[in-house]
Amino acid sequence: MRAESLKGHLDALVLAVLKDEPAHGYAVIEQLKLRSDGAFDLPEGTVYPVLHRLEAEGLLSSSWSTVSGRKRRVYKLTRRGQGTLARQRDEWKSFANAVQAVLA
Amino acid sequence: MKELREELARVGIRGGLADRIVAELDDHLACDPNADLGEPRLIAERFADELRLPRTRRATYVGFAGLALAAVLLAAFFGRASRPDGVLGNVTPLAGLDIVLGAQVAFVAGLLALWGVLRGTPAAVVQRRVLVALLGGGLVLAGEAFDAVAGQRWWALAALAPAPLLVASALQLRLAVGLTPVRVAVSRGFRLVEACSVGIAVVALMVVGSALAERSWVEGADRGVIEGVVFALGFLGAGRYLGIRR
Repeated sequence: MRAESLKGHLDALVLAVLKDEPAHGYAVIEQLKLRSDGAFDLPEGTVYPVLHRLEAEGLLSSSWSTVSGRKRRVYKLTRRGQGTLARQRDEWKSFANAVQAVLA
Repeated sequence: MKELREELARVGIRGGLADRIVAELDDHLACDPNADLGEPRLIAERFADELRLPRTRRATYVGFAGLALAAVLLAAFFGRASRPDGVLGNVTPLAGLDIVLGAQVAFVAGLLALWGVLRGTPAAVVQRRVLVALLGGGLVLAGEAFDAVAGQRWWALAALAPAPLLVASALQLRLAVGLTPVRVAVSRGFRLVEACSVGIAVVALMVVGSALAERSWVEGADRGVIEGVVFALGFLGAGRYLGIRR
C-alpha cells in the first residue's frame, strides 16, 4: 500500500502500535508491517518524523535506553495519546461503517 | 549520516535534536543494515514539515500564557494607580506610553496568533504574529522594569514574572522559524468590511469601558477616538505583515 493512502491515518496506526507497550522506531515500523500482514510496508524514513511530531504534540513521550552499547530512543503512549487514540478509533469505525454501507 | 546531518542543518534542525535524529536512524540501520531510509534530503524535509506546526503552536500557547499573566500583573499595577501610593501614579510619561502601546500590540497580535493556530493559518503568518506579540509584551515588561527601578519600588519587579514564559516562547519561535521555508503561502486576511466591524467593536468597547472606569463619557470618547486611530494605523501599516489585510 502506498504511503499516500495512509495519509491521515498514520497517526492513529502509530498510536495503536504503541498502545500495548513502549517501542523504538524500528519496532514500530516492524509492528505496522506485521499487524497489517505486510500491507503497511512504509518507506522507513517517513515514520520517524511522525514519531517526533506526535511527541511534540504531547501524545507520546520518549526516553533513551542502551541496547548492546547503542543508544535507543523508546516511545511510549501518554495519557493524552490514549485519549486521542480512543477518539480516532471511534471516528474510524464510524467512517468505515459509512463507507461500507455505501459500497455494499 | 554525515549527509543527513548536513541536510538537517539546511532545514534548520541542529544541536541536540539533530544528534537525536541521527542516533535514532543509526540505531535503525543497526537493527536492519539493509533498511532503505530514503534520501537524506527528503528525510530532513519531512522532519521540518512535521515539526514546524507543533513548534509554532507551542510558541503561541506559551507566549499567550506569558502575555495573559503579564496582563493580570499589569491590571494589578493599574489597580494601584488610583491609590495615593499607586505605581503608575508616578510613572514616567515615556514608560507609561511604552506600557500602554506595548500592551495593546501584544493583546491584538497575541489574539491573532491564537486565532491563527486554531484556524489553521499558515505557520509563517502565525510566527510573525507571535513575534509581534512578544515584542509588545517585551515593551510592557521593559516599561514596568524601568518604572520600578526609577521609582525604587523594588516589589514592582514582581511584574516581570512572565519573562521566563516569554523567553521560552521566543526560543520555541526561533526553532519554528528555522524550520519554515522563506517562501510560504500568505494568509487570505480579512475583508475590509470584516476589519471595519472588528474596529468598530473595539472602539465601542474602549468607549464604554473607559467611560465606566473613569465615570466620564467625554474621557471614554477621547480614548475611543485614539483607539480607532491606532487600530486603523495598525491595520494599514502592519496588516499585510500580520496576514490580516488582503
